[in-house]
Amino acid sequence: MGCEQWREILSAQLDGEETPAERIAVDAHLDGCTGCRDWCDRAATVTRRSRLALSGPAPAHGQRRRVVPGPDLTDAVLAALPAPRRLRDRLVFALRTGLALIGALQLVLGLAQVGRGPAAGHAHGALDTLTSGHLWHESAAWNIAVGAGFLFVAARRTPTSGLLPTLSAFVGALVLLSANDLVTGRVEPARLVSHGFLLTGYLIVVALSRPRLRPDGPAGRDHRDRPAWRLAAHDVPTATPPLRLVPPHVGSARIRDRSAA
Amino acid sequence: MSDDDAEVTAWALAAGRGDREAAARFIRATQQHVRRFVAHLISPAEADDLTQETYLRAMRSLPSFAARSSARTWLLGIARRTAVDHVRAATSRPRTVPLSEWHDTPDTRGSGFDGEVVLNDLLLALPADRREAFVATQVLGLSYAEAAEVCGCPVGTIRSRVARAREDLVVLVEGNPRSIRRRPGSAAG
Repeated sequence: MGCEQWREILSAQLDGEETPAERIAVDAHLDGCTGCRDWCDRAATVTRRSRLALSGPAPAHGQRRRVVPGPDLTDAVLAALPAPRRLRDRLVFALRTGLALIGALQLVLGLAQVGRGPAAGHAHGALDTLTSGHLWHESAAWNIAVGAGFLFVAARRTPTSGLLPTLSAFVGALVLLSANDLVTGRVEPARLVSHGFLLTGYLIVVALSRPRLRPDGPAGRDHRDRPAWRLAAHDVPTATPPLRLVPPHVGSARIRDRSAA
Repeated sequence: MSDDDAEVTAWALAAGRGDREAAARFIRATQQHVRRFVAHLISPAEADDLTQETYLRAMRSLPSFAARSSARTWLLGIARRTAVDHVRAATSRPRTVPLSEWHDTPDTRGSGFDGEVVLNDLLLALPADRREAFVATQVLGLSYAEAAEVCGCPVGTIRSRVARAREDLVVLVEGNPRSIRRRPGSAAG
């Protein structure tokens, strides 16, 4: 074992991190090695100095510490943090969970609709079977599409605004047509209840597309996340002089040049 | 120390659940530690900036802090990564840095800080990994195990880095006439 390894143990001993076996062994080594004994003394001195000078016990002995006192950063840090978002996060989470449920339900409804075919009780109005069959499938496809859209919005953290125009037109047209059908008695109110899911999902999507509820926070987050003080610290020393004419030009600059030379 | 640590960890956990009062306590209790750490890793002039950045990072990842280690070592680990990133960013752009910013503060002269200034110069001359291990164990008073958590390396690595740092410092102190000339009168020696 070379002296270097012994010195590692000696160093650990200075920090009280040696094992008892090492302590015995190193004591034996120190008895026979002046170099290491010497090194140990000097290392101990350096250690003591470092601890005293760099981290000293307390500013109580009239020695003011230069590193330790600094501005209390608590307020600065808390101010730089995004506003308390607990409530908002919970709200967003609840909304997205709800949307996911509605989307799944809508998807299942659509698939069931495909499988079941135009049941007599649920067909809108009294159309002939051929067209009503295809219309039935078409509306099933819509249900599936809307359900998939809801699930996508709920699962992804992307802004929902892309889905809004389609959904708005769909829901708007459906509401108008349903109202019309209801007035003219072409559909029982019970049937319309199933549109409630769609309407709720639509409202959630609208809510989620509000900038304040976006998953990545409000639009103005740039100056919240980025530590603004860094810019100032780095810009000051490298400040470029304002635009001006280059020295050998008319008048005073030339004269000043001469007098300087 | 461990009671204190447990308290700090509890504050960190509460802060992770959104308690701002606990976050303020957590910052107040730990900021001098963090400041001292980054001051010795990088430079005192940048200590405030780096400390703030450390806390901003820490606050962002507080919700996922699971108290597997004490909040103090967790935070110092973040401080260390902040310092490493800072060095990486600083070396990627040309800068003119004064030799040592420890000399810049006006009240250094004649007030007994020479030892500190010299030691900081010496410390900054050490390789980064040794400096890190030395500052964590000697200046912050962490145990080897805690320092290993902070630096993300095995305890044995910390042990050998501290030993190497000591060897370097012994050599540097011997070879630094200024420190030899100035030290004898000072009380710290």
